[in-house]
Amino acid sequence: MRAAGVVLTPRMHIDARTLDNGSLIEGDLCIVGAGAAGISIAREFIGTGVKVILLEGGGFEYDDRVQQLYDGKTTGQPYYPLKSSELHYFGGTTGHWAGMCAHFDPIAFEKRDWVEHSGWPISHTTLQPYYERAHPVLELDSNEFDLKHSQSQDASLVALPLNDEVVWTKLWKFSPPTRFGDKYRKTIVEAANVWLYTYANVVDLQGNEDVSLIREVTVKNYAGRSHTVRARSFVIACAGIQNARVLLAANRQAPRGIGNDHDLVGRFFMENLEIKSAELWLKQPSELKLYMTQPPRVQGELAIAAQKQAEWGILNGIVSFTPLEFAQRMPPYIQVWSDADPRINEDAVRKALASASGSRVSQFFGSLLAGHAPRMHQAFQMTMRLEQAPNPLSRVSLADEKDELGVPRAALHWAFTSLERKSARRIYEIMGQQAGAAGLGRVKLKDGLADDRESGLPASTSAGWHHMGTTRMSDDPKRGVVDANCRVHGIGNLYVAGSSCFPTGAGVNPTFTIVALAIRLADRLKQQLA
Amino acid sequence: MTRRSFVAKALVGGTAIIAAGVVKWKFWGTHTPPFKCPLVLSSFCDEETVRKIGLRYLALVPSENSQAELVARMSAAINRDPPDSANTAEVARQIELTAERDFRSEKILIINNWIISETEARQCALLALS
Repeated sequence: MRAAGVVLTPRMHIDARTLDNGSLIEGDLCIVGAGAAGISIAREFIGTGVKVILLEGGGFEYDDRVQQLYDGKTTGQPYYPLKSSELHYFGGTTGHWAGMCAHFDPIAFEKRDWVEHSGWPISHTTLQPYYERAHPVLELDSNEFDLKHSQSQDASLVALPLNDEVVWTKLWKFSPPTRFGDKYRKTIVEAANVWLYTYANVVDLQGNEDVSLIREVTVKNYAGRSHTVRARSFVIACAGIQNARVLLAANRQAPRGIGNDHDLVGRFFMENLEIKSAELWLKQPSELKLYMTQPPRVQGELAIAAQKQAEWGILNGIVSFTPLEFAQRMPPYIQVWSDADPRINEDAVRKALASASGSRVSQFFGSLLAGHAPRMHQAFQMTMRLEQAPNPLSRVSLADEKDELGVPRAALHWAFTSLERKSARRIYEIMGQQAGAAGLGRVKLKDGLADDRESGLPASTSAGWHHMGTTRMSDDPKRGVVDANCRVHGIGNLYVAGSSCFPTGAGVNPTFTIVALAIRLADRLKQQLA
Repeated sequence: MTRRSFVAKALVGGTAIIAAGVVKWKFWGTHTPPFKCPLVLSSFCDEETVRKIGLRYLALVPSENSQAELVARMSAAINRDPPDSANTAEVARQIELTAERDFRSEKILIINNWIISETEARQCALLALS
């Protein structure tokens, strides 16, 4: 929504619905998708001599007819309606992002013998300078995630007294959150060398004879216009599910889809699982201030030391705490976020949170009684964010049904391995052991996770709307769709940006890493296009 | 008795009964001998819950299904005789430290969904048998 009194001067924004049908658009770099990744790359080129064409399928505001293009079917483990799990307008899914930022731990990038298909061709050290450059993009105060640093500024941020060789406190920071659509619209529109085209949905990619280079892409919109975009390099930045869909649907020259010689595009779909299957009961009630989402806008969560992950052969999982009296009234997201319309879901989440917080009357009397005293609680829900094991059977493919623009819809089959349950249970056990050893209290398991005879994860298992892995990164074309520089194997000028390039998910919200990786890709592209 | 005084007495009486229940639940462990009272669990579990944990433990480990056996094992664990003549607070503290050692050395059980130490499982069992 445009703020009253703000006048935007459109310079390089063109609504593709208004162009003559069959228009030819030409530039040096074509970025497909104006979300966190696409806008971050475009920003890096502002002021350079490179002519950037930034294509966005939607407009500046939510448009249900455009959003409908993201609809698709899901099978396997219950998942959110696809139409509502990524946003299709300028700014992309940052439009409903919660703002949680943290680095991926170094172990996330490593080849782990106990996690099949794990290992990135780059390390945390590689990404560190790009995290540094990404933090102002996301309006974080710094790239400093060391707990001691935060404690030096606020001594009341006391960590639980656990053995940090087993369980350590990982720190999160919060973006306001940065809504890329609002924050960077003016920057992009007024940039002299960035041409933003809205209502420009890519429906096909055209390569040279042997598809070793991409020559042009075809864009369409529901106004019935179709245009051609030619550039020297192309970046697909349409988010985790749509990146795979765009490549798979471009199957006129390559029957299995562009970049899919080894049947990897769309496979290895991963999420960060949200499991609410344990409670921490404290011997003495506590505020757990460091672990609550409160100002000064940092939050601690408990993580398992890398060496222990190796020792026990488990995935990475991180545990946050919510006062149980609140958590018990909050249904799992997989139940709340059930409508195809993301606006209805956002409203449902707001209502569920308000309901869980209690009535306004009880909140008023609660605050009156508590005064300025810290809110002490004896019991907390332990919410685990668990990385998913890379699994080729968990995949995005093309459905038979086509969308309004004639592109086959996405079909998601979401599937787990046995490692997720084993890891979730073990992580809770470790937390229980550590809480007991420290004399803090006891951990109680819930939802069938305590029962060895059961398999799979509890029905309440939700996910973070983090779509990863469908164009995974590897130096080996037989193991990954893109190389370490996010270039599609075998195609000299086609790149993919976003979390679809992640070989593993780390259990960490991906946006910070998406932006860091996008800035790194922009550096590579600058070298190529110079 | 006037209607007003009846209502007042009923309210006071009802409140007293509820309060007594809360006190009994909250502080049931205060007067329970330490060998039968897992200190940490008793700070948030009612007596019935602890007894059920004890019964489940006995079902899992039938060889310990006697008070004598349980007391002997716990005495050995804390290196102290049964608590009849001992300082109960000190015994309770020793048992708590033993439970923490159990956790460190992974002498842990999951019973009725609770992740507890071997020592406090025996305390629960002793309570269940008493």
